[in-house]
Amino acid sequence: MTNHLIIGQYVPGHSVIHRLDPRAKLLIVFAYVLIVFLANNAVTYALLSLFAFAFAALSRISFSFIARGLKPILWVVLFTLLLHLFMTKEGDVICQIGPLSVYEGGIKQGAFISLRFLLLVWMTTMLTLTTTPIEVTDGVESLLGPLKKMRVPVHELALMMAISLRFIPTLMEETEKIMKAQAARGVDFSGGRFSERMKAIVSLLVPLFISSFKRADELATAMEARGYRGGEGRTKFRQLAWKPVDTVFLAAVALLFALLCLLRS
Amino acid sequence: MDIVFEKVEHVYNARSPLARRALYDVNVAIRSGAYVAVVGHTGSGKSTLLQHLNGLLQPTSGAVKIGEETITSHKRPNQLKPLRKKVGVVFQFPEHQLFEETVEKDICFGPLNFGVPEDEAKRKARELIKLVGLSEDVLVRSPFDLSGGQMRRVAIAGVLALEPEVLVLDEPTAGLDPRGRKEMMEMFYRLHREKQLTTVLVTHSMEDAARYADEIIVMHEGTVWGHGTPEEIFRDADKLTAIGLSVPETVKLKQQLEKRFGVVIPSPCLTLEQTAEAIEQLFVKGERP
Amino acid sequence: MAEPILSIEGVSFRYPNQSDYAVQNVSFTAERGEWLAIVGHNGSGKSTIARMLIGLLRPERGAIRLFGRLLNDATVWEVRRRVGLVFQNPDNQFVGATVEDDIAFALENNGIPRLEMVERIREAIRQVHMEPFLHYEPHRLSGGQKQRVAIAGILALRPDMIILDEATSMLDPRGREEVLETVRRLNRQQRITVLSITHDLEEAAKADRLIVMNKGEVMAEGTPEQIFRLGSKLERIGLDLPFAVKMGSRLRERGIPLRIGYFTTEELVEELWTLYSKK
Repeated sequence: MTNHLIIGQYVPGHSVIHRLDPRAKLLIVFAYVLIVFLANNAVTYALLSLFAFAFAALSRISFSFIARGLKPILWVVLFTLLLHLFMTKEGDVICQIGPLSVYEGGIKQGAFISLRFLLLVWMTTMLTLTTTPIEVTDGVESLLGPLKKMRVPVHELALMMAISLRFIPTLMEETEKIMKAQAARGVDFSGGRFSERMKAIVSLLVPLFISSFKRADELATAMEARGYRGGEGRTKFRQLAWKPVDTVFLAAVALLFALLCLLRS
Repeated sequence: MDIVFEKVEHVYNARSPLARRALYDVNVAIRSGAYVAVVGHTGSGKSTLLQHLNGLLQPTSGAVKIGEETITSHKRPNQLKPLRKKVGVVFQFPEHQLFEETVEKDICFGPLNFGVPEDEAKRKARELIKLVGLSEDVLVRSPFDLSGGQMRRVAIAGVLALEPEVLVLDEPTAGLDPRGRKEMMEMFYRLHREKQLTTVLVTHSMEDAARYADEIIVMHEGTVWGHGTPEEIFRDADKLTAIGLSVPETVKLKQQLEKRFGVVIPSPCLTLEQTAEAIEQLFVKGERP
Repeated sequence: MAEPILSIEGVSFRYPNQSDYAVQNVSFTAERGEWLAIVGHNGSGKSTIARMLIGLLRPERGAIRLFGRLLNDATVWEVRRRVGLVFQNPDNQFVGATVEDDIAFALENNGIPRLEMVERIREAIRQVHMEPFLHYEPHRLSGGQKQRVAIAGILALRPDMIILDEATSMLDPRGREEVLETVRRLNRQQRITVLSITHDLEEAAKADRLIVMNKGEVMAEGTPEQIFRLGSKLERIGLDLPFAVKMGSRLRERGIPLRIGYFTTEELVEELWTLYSKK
């Protein structure tokens, strides 16, 4: 199951996109997600798609790989498309299927909305494919930095996020181990009656929670032993460096924004 | 139950860029009632091999025959459940699988999954708790109030409650102190004899392999490197050392003595007693070389 | 004699809601550059001592002195900088997303400037021979490698003392040897004091001095030679004698007049050869 889902997976590389400052990437994707909603005609959607394609091309990650990652959401896209196809009643009737009639507006609307959805997922996937989770964390911490003045525990939140990410593979391994141990005791995780399924899930979750609490406790002790006492007086090993290329990419998004405003109908 | 591996191969994530071959060309037979130790480095394929014994993994090619059952890549996973009752597996750190409110419920969990009536399962729990060296009043307690060593014994009782014919043990003494380790190994040996089990022990301890096993299977880089009695396996101590595995301390001593004394010691020197006797012989025979 | 780097005087400790003492009236000292092993069965109180030494637990009675100063709230952070603790479970002490991040963690906590950090990380990783793994995530490392990263994280702080709290008990033989070899080298070359807490007497045999714990109290203290003379007394408290010691006593029972004491297997062979040639 996890093999097909590439959202959230990092693909190592040295492309210009990989090397962008994570803050720049976060801002680009965030801005893109907002301005996608400005598009309302063929030209503006073409512009947005062009930008997304260019971004992917520069990352040197193969289109087929990205496309494969988008597969799981294809059903959602298809559903949206069909919904609009049959529900929107604008413009001329193009054809008639049984009691349902397809209007010109429906085709347009359906195509645009599906494309919008695809582009949103496409760009956010690009972010995670080219940025390690820890870089994302650093970027978020840095961007949220000003909130510290408002007593938002930014450092703690970022550390929490970093540690959770670090322990995901460990927990996956643990889950697999416990599932195997319970399967050896006759638990069937793939089927059975509802009550059996519930029991199976309990036999997995209880040990998983217990070991996670134990881990958390030991980790906290180890952190204290290694001199951790909150964000005060702490230096940072990972440092972000804003480069001219980051500014250039942000400028490109600004340009995209301007063009969208001009060309939308 | 006889166990036979025929040309078994296992590839993780087959047909994907992450494919990794963990086992290949494994041909090995374990006869019913034998105590077999499987040794090898971490990553040698030991634990993949072990998971084929009760169908947790299926070979990607070849076949595993366990008693009447034959497991191949085609077998549907839901046909494997009956096998899991016959082959009990004690995983590493088995205490991590406990989850019920009471020790009794946890021991009964396995049997109930296999359709054993409740009072029968409870009767078994009472019998087994004593067998693993705990007292009956532990049954009503929460497993999480027990010490680490006690929790492990409860988990083992939970596997034994399936009344398996084959008992597979994966590093069952990891993390225990010397006394705990010895008590546990002795307990498994006793069970092996009393219940006429077929026992498969995966271990890093060459001492345990030499002490308890009738046969040793040496795994190396995904396939069977050697298979024989402890005597046969440890006879070629140098070959084992060459693939980075150690031999029991007694065998090391024998080797060094042979070199220093310029003699051949006929005894296999697998236990302390055997070795002491062999050295005594050396002194009694007496003549200087 | 120089002032000891560590001294514990009459320390007792009880866990909350427990009537029995986990550690009772324990006293001992450690010299600079020494390898001191604390041995005992699981639950003998030895890990509790480790935790008290860096202020994770507070003794109910008694005093702990490190580097000539009393351990208290004012000195605890300095102590945690100078004394590194390697825990049992390799996974649950790995904080960073990658090897270098993890080594950096303690440096960050101590406010070391970034440029110096980079330098120290490079030096520490070299000392544990893990250079090729600098950018690896923890789940791609073996247990032994993770423990070596933990040691590197301590070395980066340029410590005076390393405490191994059952640090090898979850490792395979290869991992165990890697870790012990690394610590042995640091002990010898850099005179870092080592306190190794273990139930493995084979491992403890290589220490300069041993402290045997039983039920929270110190049962014996001395060189490996002196300790292993206790023989079956050690077995009775749940420990296992080193192989050569067990073999030696079996041989004496059979009338081979070996001298009493502690040997390695090599020494045992030599002793036997001497006896044999004298005949």
